[in-house]
Amino acid sequence: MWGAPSAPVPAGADGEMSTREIRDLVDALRAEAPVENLALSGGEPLLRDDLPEIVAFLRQRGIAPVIITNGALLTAAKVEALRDAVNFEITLFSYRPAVHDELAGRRGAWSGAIDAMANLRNAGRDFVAVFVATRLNYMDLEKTAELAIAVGAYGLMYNRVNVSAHNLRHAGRLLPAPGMIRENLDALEAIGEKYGLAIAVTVVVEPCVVDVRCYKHIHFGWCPLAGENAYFTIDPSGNVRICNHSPVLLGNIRRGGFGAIYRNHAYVRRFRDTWPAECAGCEPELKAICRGGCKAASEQCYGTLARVDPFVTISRTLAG
Amino acid sequence: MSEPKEGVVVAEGDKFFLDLAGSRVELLPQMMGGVDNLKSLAGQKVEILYSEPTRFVVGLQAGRRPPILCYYQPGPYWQRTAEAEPAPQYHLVITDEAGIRRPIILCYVPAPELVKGIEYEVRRNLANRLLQEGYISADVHEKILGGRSAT
Repeated sequence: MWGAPSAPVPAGADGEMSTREIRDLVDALRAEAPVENLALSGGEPLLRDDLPEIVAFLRQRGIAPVIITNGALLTAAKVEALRDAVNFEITLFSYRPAVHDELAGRRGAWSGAIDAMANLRNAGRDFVAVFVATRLNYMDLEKTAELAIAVGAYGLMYNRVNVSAHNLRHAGRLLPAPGMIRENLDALEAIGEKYGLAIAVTVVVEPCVVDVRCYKHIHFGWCPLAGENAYFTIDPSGNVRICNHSPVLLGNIRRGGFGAIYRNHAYVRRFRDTWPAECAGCEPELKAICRGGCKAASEQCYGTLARVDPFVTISRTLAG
Repeated sequence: MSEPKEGVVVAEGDKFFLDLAGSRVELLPQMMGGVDNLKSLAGQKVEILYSEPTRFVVGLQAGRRPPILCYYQPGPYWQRTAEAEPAPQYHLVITDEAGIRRPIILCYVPAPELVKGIEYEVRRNLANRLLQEGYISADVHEKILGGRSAT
C-alpha cells in the first residue's frame, strides 16, 4: 500500500498542487509502483473543493481512496459527492462532547464528527472511528467505541498519541501510561470478541512496553520500514516522506520520480537498516514483531534513527 | 431467502458490476484481482456458490484449481435481504462456468476482515443503553439511529 497526502507537513516551496498536477502525479506513481490504496488526509482534505474529482479519478485508475477527516465538512451532500471513496476514517476522541472539543481544539467538533458518521451511515457508506488515546481521554475508550458502533462504524482504530518534536515537552501529560494502554486494549479485545468488528492499532505499541501478543481480536500495525506495504507520504506540494510522521523530506515528486527515492535514496536505506541502540538486548521474538518501533518519532524528537522511540523511554517514567 | 444461482459480470465505462437477477453489486477492481481480471470476466455468466452461514471465507475464483484471486463481501443486495431476514452471515464464492462447483477453500479469513457493519438491532440496543445510562442525550440518541441503511 502506498499512502499519500498526510498530516502536518513542512512548508513546501512550490505551493499546493492543482487538480491536474495531482492527476499527473497519480499516473506517474502508478507507472512506478503498485499503488493500491491512497489515503487523503491533511490538515483537512475536505477543504479542497476538487476532492470529489480527485477521488473519482483515483477510482478510475483502480486505486482505493480512503478519506481521513475530522468530519466537520462531511455533509450529506458531500458524502454523495464522494461516492467513489471506499472508506472514511473519522476521529472521535470521546463520547463526551467537551472532551472531544478540547482535544480537537474547536467547539462543536464533536457534533460535526457525529453528524458526519450519521451522514455516512444513512448513505450506506463504510467508515471507521479513530480513537487517539491520551492521558486526558483514555478512560473514555469503551463508551466511545460503543457510541461509534451505535452510530454505524464498521471498524475501530486505536492509536496512542505519537510523540513528535511539537508535543515532546508535553509528553508526560499527554502520553497514556502502559497500564492505561493495557486497560484500553483489554476493553477493545472484549469489544472485538462481542461485536466481531475490525479493530486496528496503527501507531506502534512497542511490545517491550505492552506485550500485545495476547490480543487475538486486534490487528496491530508495525512499521513497514519503507519496504513492501509502506505508506509513503506526499504532501500537497509534492514533497515525499517515508511516512506521515517522518520529518525528513526525501525529495519532490514533481522534480523527480518516486522510484529513484524508493530504490536509491540513502536515507531510505538507512531507515530500513538502522536499529535503535536500545533494542540490542531485546529478545529476538519481540524484535521480529516490533522492527525497532517508530523510528520516525525518534527522528522527530532526537534527530536520529539510532535511538528508540521516545514513547518507550518516556513510558518507563509514567505513573498509572 | 431467494438466492440467485448465477450472475453476470458487467463492464460499464471504468466500472464493473455483478448483475444478480437485476440487482447490481459493484465489483471493486482492487478487491477483485485488478482491472485486467475483471475485464477478462466481463460479459461472462458466473455461478454463485454459497458458503455456510458462518463467519468466514471466500473469494472470486476462475478456472480450475484457481488461486483465491480476491475476497468479496456481501454488498447492498445482501444487506437488504439481511434486514428482511436478520442474522445470516452469507458470503459468496464466485466461479466461472468452468470453475469447481464445490471450490476448495484455500484459506480462511477472519470475519472482521470481511464483514462490515453491525446489525441494526445491535446498534439500537447499544444506543438505548447509552441513553439509559446517561452517556448520551436524547437528541444524540435520535441522531445516531436516524436511518437504517448503514449496515
